[in-house]
Amino acid sequence: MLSYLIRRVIALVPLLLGVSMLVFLIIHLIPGNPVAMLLGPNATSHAEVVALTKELGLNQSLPEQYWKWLINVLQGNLGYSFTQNQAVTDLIAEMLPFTLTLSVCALVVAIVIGVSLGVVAAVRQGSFIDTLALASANLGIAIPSFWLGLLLILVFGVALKWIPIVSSPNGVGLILPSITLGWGAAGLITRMVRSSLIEAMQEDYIRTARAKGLRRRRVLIKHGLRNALLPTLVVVGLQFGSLLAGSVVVEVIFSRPGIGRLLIQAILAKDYALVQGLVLVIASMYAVINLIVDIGYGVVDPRIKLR
Amino acid sequence: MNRKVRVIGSLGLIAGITSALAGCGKAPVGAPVNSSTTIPSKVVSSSSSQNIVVAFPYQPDTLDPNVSGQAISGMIDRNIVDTLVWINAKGQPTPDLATKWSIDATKTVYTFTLRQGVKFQDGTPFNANAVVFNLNRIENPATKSQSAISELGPFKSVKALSAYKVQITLKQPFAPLLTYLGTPNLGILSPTAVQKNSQAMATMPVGTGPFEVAKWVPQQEVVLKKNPNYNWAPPALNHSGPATLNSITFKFVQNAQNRVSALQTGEAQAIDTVPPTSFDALKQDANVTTYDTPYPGTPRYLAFNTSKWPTNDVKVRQALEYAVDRQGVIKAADSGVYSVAWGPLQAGTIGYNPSFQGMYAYNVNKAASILQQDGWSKVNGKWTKAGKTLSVSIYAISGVEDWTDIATAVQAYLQQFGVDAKVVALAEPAWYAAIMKGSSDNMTATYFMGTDPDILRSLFTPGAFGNWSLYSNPTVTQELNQASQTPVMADRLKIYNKVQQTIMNEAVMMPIYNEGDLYATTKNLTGLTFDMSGYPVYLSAKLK
Repeated sequence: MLSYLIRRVIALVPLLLGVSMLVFLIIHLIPGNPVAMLLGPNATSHAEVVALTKELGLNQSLPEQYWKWLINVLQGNLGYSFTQNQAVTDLIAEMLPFTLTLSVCALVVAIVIGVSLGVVAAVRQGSFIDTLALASANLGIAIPSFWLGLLLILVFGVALKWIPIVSSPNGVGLILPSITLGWGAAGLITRMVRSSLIEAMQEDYIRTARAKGLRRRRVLIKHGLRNALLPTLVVVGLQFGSLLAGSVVVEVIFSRPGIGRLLIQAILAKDYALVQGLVLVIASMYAVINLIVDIGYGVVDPRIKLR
Repeated sequence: MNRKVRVIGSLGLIAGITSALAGCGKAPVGAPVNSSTTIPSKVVSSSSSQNIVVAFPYQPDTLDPNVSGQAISGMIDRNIVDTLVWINAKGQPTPDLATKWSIDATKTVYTFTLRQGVKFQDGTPFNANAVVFNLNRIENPATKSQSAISELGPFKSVKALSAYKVQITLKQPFAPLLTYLGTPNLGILSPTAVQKNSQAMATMPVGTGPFEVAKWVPQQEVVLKKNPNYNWAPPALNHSGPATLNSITFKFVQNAQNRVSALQTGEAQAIDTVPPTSFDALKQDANVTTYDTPYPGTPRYLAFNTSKWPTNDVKVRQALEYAVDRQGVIKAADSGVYSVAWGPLQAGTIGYNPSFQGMYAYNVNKAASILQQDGWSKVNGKWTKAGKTLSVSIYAISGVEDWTDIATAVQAYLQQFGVDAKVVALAEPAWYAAIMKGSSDNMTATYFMGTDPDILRSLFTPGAFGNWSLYSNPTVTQELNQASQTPVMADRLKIYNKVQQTIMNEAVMMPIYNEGDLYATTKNLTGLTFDMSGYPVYLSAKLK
């Protein structure tokens, strides 16, 4: 187990290295001059652009720039964001909590809606409720979050005035973004729970449990749901990763602070250090969550051996 | 038993992933203390307490007025810092922190007499040393000033003659200096605060203005509170004593529709940068007051690349000018909110010349006859000369919707006229790179802000950064340089008129519309004024 863990953690290194290299190449290969943009129309001459380019070290060759960045990263320094006038690590530390809070709340929304709808749909398979639950799941997967978000704002913010639109990123301000972000994930979870519960309920051990004379509800929860939740666990783990990514759109729509919005700004401004730092952090989180899910799966289901 | 552990384990893991990190709906996970405290919205929106919320398009890069190059910082800084002079509605410098000034015969030495009894928000007294400190800070390369340093022009030195007398010396005459001394970029910061922590000025600038920064919450808001000691409003504003409002919360709301919604629900009392599509609807709203204040500078325009075929031919440029219906472009791109612009400077700018009205008005026949005289003829519906089809590329920044919309509308008119026009939308950094090279674009959508007609020099002289037209005309260059050293405004304006005439005759640019800040407030917010740069001034604003 321990050696498995160590091997998995070591395997993260080439992965993250590859990701950072790829991002570094892509952002540098996109045409554009971040220095001219930074100076804007107020620059008085082209000489000014050249001087600032040199000062930011952007006149060096790509491998040279990457190497310098890498050495700094190994020392825990993600560089300096020249558009935000702040250290990248500070910026991320400041904004990450908001994104995590949103992702976690969205995941709670997704699990609560997804598991309950999935169970109800499986139990009432083929009924009107089942159709309704599946429709909700499909809608959640199909509706783009930028549209859903605006719709929720118009209905609950503008028309009904139940929820403030721009007032705060936490508290009530979390409700609409969490639903916007969580609904899509809820759809996947609903379908997963439904199909695995239906499958589980046809297994021999269910028939055995019933034959023993156990109550229907007890059979469903203790024997059916317990087994159906195992595959769901994987989906939930992976969903958390995509929720982190989905926060990019939701943060912009709801004017929330967070690393998603920061990333958009950084890409638009070609803020190299900030883009690289953010992508590295997001990729690491994604990888770590995957690792946790894998290990967790082994813990709850001993049939799966971690080697 | 074993099974039970596993069930609890699987449920627990799901719950664990989700809730290990945070309790939802409370404070963000591990958020820094200063960013987790927000003013309860009810307190802010209560109208009796003179606190207002302004839905603001986005967070400025820095609030340090001496560093910033963004108009958006100026809109906030205007209320925090004071400037040596105040530019009145006619574009003339009037007293502010300086009560009077004189310029010597060489036009390079400016002597200012300063107002007494003024204190910075941190208690530091304002005096000649503060001015010396600020100007030297701007000139110091370590400050990385983006706008202020170029506004000081050929600055040489500054010295305190006495406690309340300060002298600025220039290397050569620079007539726009007084105008620029009235922009927030040259606002005066507290030397004590800067010396204590220069970096902190990015989020907490300390000036002598009617409002001071109470709090800066990254990516969310900046809260200003009333400076109770303020009693030195520029005479031009006709205000005595401190501001009426107790606080102003600039909330960064990137999504334009959300800004409008916030105003309609009463969450915000004012919104900056109203989307044009909503502006007319808000105008009709009985509970809303709308403002369309022009930014001084150029109108929104398309710069012609005068060095690349076919727009290097003045006849072609003139024909294209006639082939586009500005009114139609404005309707298509911006819901018809703005007015048509005809010259290089827009209405409201010093040096604005209304005589270009109607020059190059939409006239397809005229456009056709100019091309025919130039040797072009229509083949298969396209203008052709020497086997080459008349084709132009129109560049625009993809992130700025207005610009891509303008470019697309212009493209439609040109195609209708028989020109092969294509739009190239690029991300901002890529746009800068392409435009600076000038080898691929024929036209590009752009505009420049500036309170002094001297901006023409940075747009139409060779080597200037903003010369997207790659325009080079020795006469114009010489005239613009001369104007920047001419002390009397009336004399300068004569030169600027001549230059503008040349630029329009040679069709170096295609003016489209007069750009303004679309601003809206609830009806009960009154007393708002706008400064020369078009920035809202909240000094006399109050909630009824």
